[in-house]
Amino acid sequence: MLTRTPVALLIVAAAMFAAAPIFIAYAPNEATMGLVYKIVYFHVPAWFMMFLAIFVCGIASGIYLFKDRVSADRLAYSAAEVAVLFGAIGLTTGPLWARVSWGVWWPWDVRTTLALILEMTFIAYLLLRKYGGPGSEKLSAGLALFGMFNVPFVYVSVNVWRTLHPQTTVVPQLPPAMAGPLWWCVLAYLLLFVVMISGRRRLEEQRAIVERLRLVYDED
Amino acid sequence: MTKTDEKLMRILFILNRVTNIPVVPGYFVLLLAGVIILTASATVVAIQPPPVEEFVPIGELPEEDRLPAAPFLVSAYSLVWIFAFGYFWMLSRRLSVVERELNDLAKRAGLDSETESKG
Repeated sequence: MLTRTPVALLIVAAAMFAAAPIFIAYAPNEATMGLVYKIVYFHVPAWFMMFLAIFVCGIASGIYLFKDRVSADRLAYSAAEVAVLFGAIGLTTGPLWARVSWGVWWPWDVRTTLALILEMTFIAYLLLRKYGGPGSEKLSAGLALFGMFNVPFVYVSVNVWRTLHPQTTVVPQLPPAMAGPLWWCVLAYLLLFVVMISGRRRLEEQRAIVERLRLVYDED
Repeated sequence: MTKTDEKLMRILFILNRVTNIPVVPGYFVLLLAGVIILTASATVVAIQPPPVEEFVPIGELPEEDRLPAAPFLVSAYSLVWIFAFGYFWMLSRRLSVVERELNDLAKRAGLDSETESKG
């Protein structure tokens, strides 16, 4: 089971999520999109956390590849799973917003397509880890580095290519009444992220102990 | 020879002429492929819809074209809870399985050490 600190963080994160609709309700509506823009409070933090998880996964994979540290590989595996989860939240909340404001569920523009490819890259990472057999750790570490280098392209795609998706300048320019609830949600997501990563990492460590013990018994 | 036979003979003659075309040189095939690709590309570019220059704000849409936003907002909020709870439930199940395996191995180790000490 989870240890005390992550459980405490989880309770705080749940309380913050429960309180989020109150702050969101008081935030003003956006001029062109109306009420539906408030999906931003669940959609944008999900992508922030996905990018963060990908950076953790990519850097840890680099350490594993070049320094051969097994603990870094465990962290990378945990972060990849969390990245896929937050990506799934982003990919499901986005179409709900798009349906109302753009009239389509999925516009197949550069941003959405690149985001989908990024999600699929990390799903591929997890599949490789699960079914790749011996040696898949190194292969998946390479894939994680490739995924990490894709993140900047996904991020700036809205500024470079023609798309209906709001640009990256929107979040820094939000008025305080809108930015406050957003950063509240980002903090709640960040706590969730920490709890998920620590729980998932603990699982990997326990699995490693079980495997080591089994090897000892098999040798005996 | 009947008229039908004559017609058949003529068709066979034409077919023979057609099939006896000399071998087409490679550069001609390449040129033909290039022309086809260029024509196809030009057609694809020509039939593209014009780019969207601007969008109509929701507030300016006619009432029948507007979708109620609240259900979508509530769905997004619910999805976050579902994903988070789903993941923690999955994680705690996997942790329980591994911890059970660890306990089993520990018990086995205890039994092994007992039998060794008796032996």
